[in-house]
Amino acid sequence: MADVVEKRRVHCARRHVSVFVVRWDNGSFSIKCSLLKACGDSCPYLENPDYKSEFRSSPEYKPG
Amino acid sequence: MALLEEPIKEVMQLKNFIAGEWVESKGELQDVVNPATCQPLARVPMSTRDEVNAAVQAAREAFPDWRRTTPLARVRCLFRLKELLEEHFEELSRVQTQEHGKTIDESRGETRRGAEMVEVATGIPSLMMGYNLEDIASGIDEYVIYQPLGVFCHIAPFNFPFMVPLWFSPFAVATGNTFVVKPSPRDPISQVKLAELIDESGFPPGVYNLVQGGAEAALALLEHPDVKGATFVGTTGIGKDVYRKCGETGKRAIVQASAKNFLLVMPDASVQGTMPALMTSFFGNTGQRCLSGANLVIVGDDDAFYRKFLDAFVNTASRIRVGYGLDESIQMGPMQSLDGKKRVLGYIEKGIAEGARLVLDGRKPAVIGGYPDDHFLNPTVFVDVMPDMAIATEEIFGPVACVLRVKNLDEAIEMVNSSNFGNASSIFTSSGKAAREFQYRVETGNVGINLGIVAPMAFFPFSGMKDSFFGTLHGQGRDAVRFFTESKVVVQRWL
Repeated sequence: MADVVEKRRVHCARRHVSVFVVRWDNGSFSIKCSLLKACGDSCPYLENPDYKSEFRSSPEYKPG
Repeated sequence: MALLEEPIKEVMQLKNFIAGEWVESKGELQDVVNPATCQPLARVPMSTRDEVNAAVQAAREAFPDWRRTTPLARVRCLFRLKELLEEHFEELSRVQTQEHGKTIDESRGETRRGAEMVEVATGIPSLMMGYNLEDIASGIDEYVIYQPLGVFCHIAPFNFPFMVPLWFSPFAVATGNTFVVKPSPRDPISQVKLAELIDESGFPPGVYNLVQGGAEAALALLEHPDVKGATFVGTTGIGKDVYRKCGETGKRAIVQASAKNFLLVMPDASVQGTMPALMTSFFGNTGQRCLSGANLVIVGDDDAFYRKFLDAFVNTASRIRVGYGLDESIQMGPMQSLDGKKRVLGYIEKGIAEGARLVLDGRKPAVIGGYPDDHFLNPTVFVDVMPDMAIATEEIFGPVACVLRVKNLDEAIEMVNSSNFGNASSIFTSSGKAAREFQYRVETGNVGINLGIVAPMAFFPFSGMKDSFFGTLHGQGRDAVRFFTESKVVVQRWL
């Protein structure tokens, strides 16, 4: 039986909810989210567990 | 960036939802326009008084059976509604962007907040419980029961067309009342989509009704003797009229009104950590939010900190990407209406005339994607603003930040408390002592500490004070449960 090697909580920008990304020691990963069924294949974390939205709600602060 | 697909592709003819049926209105029609593209989205009727009366009648007739339905059975409909909201989450969000203009990220946030109201209201079997005490006198017990009252209504604002009605309706129907909502005629489509899902959720006919319309429909609801209570979110001027009318007709009322929110920056605040919160506070939802930052108050006499903070604020604001919110890279959408934009332009002129210095001028907007600039503005920042200027005291309701400077925290708190409004205020600091002092003394209903938008969650009341709120109990959470129920006290003795 595989063991969990990492569990991360991320903010899903598509649904504005918390999602858990679980990595196993056999190299696989799983996505734990109560809305996974509603999102289906459109869940970006299924394709890439390290997914980060490229969009930001405001510009980044650039220290002068 | 490519645009997300628009869910509304043809001009819709909107109807009323009364007694479980979609009914055409005889009222005059008005256009609903996508403010980003200026393309028509729908025709919305201005329902007549008779049509409003029909909706109230349907709600009144549905009430006796609905209140006898067990709380568990009632919330099963809400559980189903919650599932449907998730299934239609993206569509609902995109509709809001189309009809209101906010960015898709803001719309998704709004849909989430709306769904959370439904989630919390599913707790009604516990939230609605009364309490009791044995032996208040020898052999006598006393208990209180919370009972629904009948028909409630909501008169909705344009700025959060999907979420705001949900601050009230899930709690109203979960407690056993029936409901009539009147959306804003400027952006009524997401409420139509919501009513479709409510219909699918298994609520019996008449429990939830929707009437389209404007002031006449609102007045008809407020004057109707069978409406036991009204909830309203809008401007202070109209809010006072609503509250007065509710008093005259013996209705309960929750009236959430205008705001002028102060955000204090203490000299020990982190510039980097504060900036994203300030950007979304002042310019999120294009400043059309009763929790928006309006006055940025920089505290202290450290000139270097003032200049550094101001430079960072203006520089970051100037880089906000303005355009059509269905482009996911956009960070600020258009003003929802031409009237709203005109009012903001008027305040910018007034600020210049009053002697404030315009350091970021959003009047000639750069719009990404080449959309008509009719509704658009860019972020605008005034400095050297004096506390008695109109731009510092009146609600602008647009993407305009007024920067003021004070010597110390006492002066800042005095400034906040001298405002007629008391919706929200925030302090940015690394000092717990300063934050505690601020929280203790400030006269606003919602207080933020190192947060730009103090939006209470569904299980807390959405507070407000002074000219920002009229009523006793607030929307959301336990306050809403109490608002939508009457306390019946029973004292019993068995001989």
